[in-house]
Amino acid sequence: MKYKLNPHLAYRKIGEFLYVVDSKTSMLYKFNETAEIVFEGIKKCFDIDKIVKKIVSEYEVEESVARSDVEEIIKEMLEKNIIEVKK
Amino acid sequence: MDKVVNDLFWTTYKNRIPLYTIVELTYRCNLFCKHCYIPQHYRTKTELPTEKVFQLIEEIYSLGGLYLTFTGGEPFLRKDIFELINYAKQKSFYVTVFTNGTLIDKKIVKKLKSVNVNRIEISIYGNKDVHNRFVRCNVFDKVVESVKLLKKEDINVCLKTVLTKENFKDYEFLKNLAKNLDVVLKTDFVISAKIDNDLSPIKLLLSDKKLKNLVKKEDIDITSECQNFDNFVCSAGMNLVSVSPEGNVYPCVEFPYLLGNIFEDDFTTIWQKNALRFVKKFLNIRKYRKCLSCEIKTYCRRCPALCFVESSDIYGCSYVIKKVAKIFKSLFLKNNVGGTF
Repeated sequence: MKYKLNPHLAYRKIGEFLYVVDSKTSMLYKFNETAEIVFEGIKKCFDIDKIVKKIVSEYEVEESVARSDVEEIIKEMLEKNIIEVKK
Repeated sequence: MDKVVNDLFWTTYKNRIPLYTIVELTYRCNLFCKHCYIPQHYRTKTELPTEKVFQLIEEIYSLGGLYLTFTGGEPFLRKDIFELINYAKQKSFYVTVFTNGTLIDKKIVKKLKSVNVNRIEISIYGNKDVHNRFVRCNVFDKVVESVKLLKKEDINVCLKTVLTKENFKDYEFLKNLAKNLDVVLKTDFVISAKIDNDLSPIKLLLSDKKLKNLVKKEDIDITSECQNFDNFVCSAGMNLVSVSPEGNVYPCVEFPYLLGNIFEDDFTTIWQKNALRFVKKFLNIRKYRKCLSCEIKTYCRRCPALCFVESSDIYGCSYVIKKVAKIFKSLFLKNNVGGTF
């Protein structure tokens, strides 16, 4: 499954965190570096495997751990409407 | 304040990142609003060329800015407004446009939709007669029509008003209008002097009695309106900045203290050197001796910009802000409104 960013977002990396604001809801969210890699991956139309690979190479973690983290982050981003399923 | 909003504000404040940038694209305007802080003779001033605004956006992006507001004058008088919004959106800015809503038609709405603008804020001052008298032009119906067109295309739009002696009675009307149009109404009651120090708009300020009734009736949270003055003066020049149509950089849109001009220096240099010098010199809490010993400081939403335009003294006392603070104090002591300090 592929995902895409909600088109109503504005975002910026400030300090260690990625801040994302959704103009539809006026909600502001703050994400850590791992979530930022997921966000950037989705922005570049990467599939989950490619995002997991990137996290494994950046943080030297087990693939299963990285995959679980990515799935958790994607679930959270879907719930917050930051991303949507690409049809 | 929401925890994440608070966190973003203080992170950018402490690190002096221009989180909020206001760009006045033009001083030209097709209306003549009675309270406007821009002197009419400014309307003939030069404007930033498209490429210069692009360069400005690039620099603010590199410095970490997120919220970008295009205002005027009337920004839709510029033919390149969509190019500018689009450019900022490509850099993932949150783009807001302040407008009088008179130049928006179906074609413009389609373009706004296509460039993914984040928010449109439209000024309105009362019912048809009151609004048209206040802006000195017969445009009320057009403004309402613009809101409807934007809503129809699912564009984030809100109404905003300033309550003055001339439109106070229409507050209920405005609230109902916003409700019927299904948009938020942002309300303010502070009026600024003009940026050339002309104090005439202040005459429109509500009387003490009306202001007091408004705060009471609307249950305005006094605590959120006031500042903790012991460690904070103002965000101007810290995480807020403004650029005028001639390229002048100011700490805030209503604060005509010149930091530099982007035709002479790049914005980054002005922000990192001149604005830093400004905040070190003027936003030092210890220099606000009068304020620190003032008996109503706890109720005051101090604004160095208003002090500056009213009296040319940044450390001075704004007539408008003091009036509001006195009312907040009297209401708070009666324990009629607000939270606790």
